[in-house]
Formats: sequence, structure tokens, C-alpha cells
Amino acid sequence: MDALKENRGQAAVTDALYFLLIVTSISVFLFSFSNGYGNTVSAQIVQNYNSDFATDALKTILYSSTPRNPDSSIYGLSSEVEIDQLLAYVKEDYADKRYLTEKTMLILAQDINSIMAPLGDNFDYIFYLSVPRDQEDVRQKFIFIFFHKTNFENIGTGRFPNFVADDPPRTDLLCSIGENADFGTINNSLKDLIIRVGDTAQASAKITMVAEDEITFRPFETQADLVLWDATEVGSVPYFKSSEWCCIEAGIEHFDSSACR
Amino acid sequence: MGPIGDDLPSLIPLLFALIMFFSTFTFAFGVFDNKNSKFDSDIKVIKIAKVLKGTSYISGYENFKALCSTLSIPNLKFRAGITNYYTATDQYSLQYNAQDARLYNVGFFLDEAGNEFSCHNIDPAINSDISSSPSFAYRFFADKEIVARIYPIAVEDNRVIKPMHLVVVTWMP
Repeated sequence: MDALKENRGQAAVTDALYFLLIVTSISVFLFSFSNGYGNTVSAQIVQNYNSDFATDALKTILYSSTPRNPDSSIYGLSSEVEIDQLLAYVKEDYADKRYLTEKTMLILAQDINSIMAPLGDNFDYIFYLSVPRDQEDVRQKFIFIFFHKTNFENIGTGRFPNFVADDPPRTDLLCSIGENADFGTINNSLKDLIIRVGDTAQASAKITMVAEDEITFRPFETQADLVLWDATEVGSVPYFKSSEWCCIEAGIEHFDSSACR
Repeated sequence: MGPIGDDLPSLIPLLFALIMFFSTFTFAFGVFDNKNSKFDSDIKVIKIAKVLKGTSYISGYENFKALCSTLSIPNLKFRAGITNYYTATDQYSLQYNAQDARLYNVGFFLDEAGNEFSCHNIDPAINSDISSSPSFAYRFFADKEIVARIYPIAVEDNRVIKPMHLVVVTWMP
């Protein structure tokens, strides 16, 4: 009994230390839980915003008007300036020649660039208009690809890459240009790119275009897609100018039927 | 040592445990409260944008005003409007001081009749000062935690459909 009495204080301290241990565990759990609280919701809100932006951007691109003369502006119009819906202008150009001319591609690229401008510094995006499947008289092909990419330079060595912003920081490319551009190769490269860049926000729309032959206009289905993602290293500009992508720099290089090198 | 003296040393870890627990508890609830209020602001920005965007196509000033009049946002201040800051390509259309434009004070589009495409629940004089004076806008928003979002939108003006952007800025009063 005496020994028990002597150890009573020690038992009380041991109980308190166990209590401290339990409370410490609860506090650590509460602290880590509060730090992680809402991260999923935050990510979901950002993802929803990016999806909304992509959908609204695609709608705005397809609704927009454009002057038929690319040197004119839709602002401060004089009565002589002829205005058309951008999509109608694109359809008309394609119906005439079965491809888009350099002028039409640049007008479309400029429109996309200005609509995507608020996110253009932080995001990469690709807009493409394609015939997704073979149809009567029209084969699978990319009619137009516009790719806005951020450039990075690797200053690291070996197994420790270190990517820094390159000069120029961003490049706008028009791809699938030239006679050697192959739908299958570019489509595979595109799918591979979209898988590699991580989370993306995508919007798609079906568009009926027409192809003119000797007798009549034949309607066919095309698809417009807009995909955007956080800017990341996806490859150099020379790589995208290679035969895998067949790109040229928008507004800098002129079209050349042998552009695909 | 008596019975109280025996238990005195055990009070130190007990008190330390209680202080640690309640500190973590208060901290955690502060974090929950802060994040919930941020989510609430995010959701309200999305609500405002959804109402003002409609189908991403605004047929004119009257259409925009009608959408604006349906908004009722209590307990939160907002300033929203349509701007051609990113899509206008010539000086004619730059109806603001482009150098000092930020998302919170970007100038809103004026149609040919002089109607400004803006929608807000703040004092009209303050709204006007925010647009016209970058230094006032900077001072006004300096101590406010703002949530801003921007969305592409097509606006019909004088029978021409112009690509523009809807800007929504919110803050707690």
C-alpha cells in the first residue's frame, strides 16, 4: 500500500502524458485535415471555370462577324466595309477551293487569338476544324489547326531538366499545312499531345460545311474543337514544323505547298 | 507531498494538451470559415456570370440590361460588364486608358448611343470613378479581397456581332 501511495504522483503524470499523446494525435489530424479542406472543391471550381471558358470561347468564335477585307476592322465601320459572319466566310472559302486560303486562316487565327487573350499568358490551347470521318466525296482531314504554345528552354542537364521561359515566350502556329500533311500522323500526334499535357478543358461543336463540285454543293459534317490546358513543355517550335505536325508560324511564315518538312 | 501535491506535475501536460487542442481547433475552424467564404464568393461570381452571359450571345444593350435587372445578390458587392479590351484592334475602340487597365477597373463597352454595358450593385459615382481613375480603383480595391472572372461573349452592336468579354468582379462589403 505504501508503495502504491508513493507511486500515485507518477501514475497521474503517466495518465496525463497518455492524454497529451491522444490530444496531440487529434490535433495533428485536425491540422492536416484543415490544410487539405476544400482543395478538391477549389480544383473543381477552377476546372469548371476552364470548361465554361472553353465553351463560351468556341461559341463566340463561331458567332463572330468579320470584315471581308482583313485590313478593315469591325469597329469604326464605314458604309463601304462589307461584313460577314466569320463562319460563313470560312465555309464560302472552303466551298470554293476545298481548302482554306492563307488570308482566311489568318483572319480566323486572329479572331481566336483575341478571344483567348485573357488566358493566353498562362494557358496553351489548340483550335482545330476537322472532317472526323470519311464521308461521301470527302475524306478525313484537318481543315484548320491553330496552336498557341508557350516556349520553354531546358537549361538543366541529364536527369535534372530545368525549364525556363524561352524567347519569344509564346508562338502561334498554323498546322497541317502543305501537301505532305497526313491526317493519321497528325491525329495521332494530337491525341498524344492532349494525353501528355495533363488536365484539359475541351469544347466541341458540329458544323455543316459544303464542297462545290461541277454540278452542285455537297454538304458534309465537320467538327470544331477547342482544347486548353495550363502552359507546359510540349516540344520545340522546330519539332512542330517537322513532318509530324506540318506547322508554320502564323503571320510570320507564308504558306508553301511544300511547307511540311 | 499531499494528494494535491502528487497531482500537480500531471497538470502541466494536461494544460499543455488542452491549450494545444483548443488552439488547433480554433485554427481549423478559422480555415474552414475562410475557405467556405471563398467558395461562397466563387459560387456567386459563377451565378452572376451565368445570368449575364445567357447563351453567350447578347443581342444589344436592352438585352444586357434585362439580364442585369434579374440579378439579386445580397451580402456581396459586384461590378460586372462587357469589355472589348482584348478583342479591339484599333484606337477607335479603345474607350479607356489601356495602359492602366486591370481586370477590376477595365473600361466597359459603349455602344453608338453611348450606353455602357455595365451591371453593378455599388454607388454609380464609385463605379464611374473606378473606370475613369486607375489610382482611385487601386486605392478602392487595395484592402478588399476580390474574386474576378472573365468569359468570352458575342455582342451584337449595330448589326455586327463582335467578340468581347464579360468581366465579373466581386468583393465582401
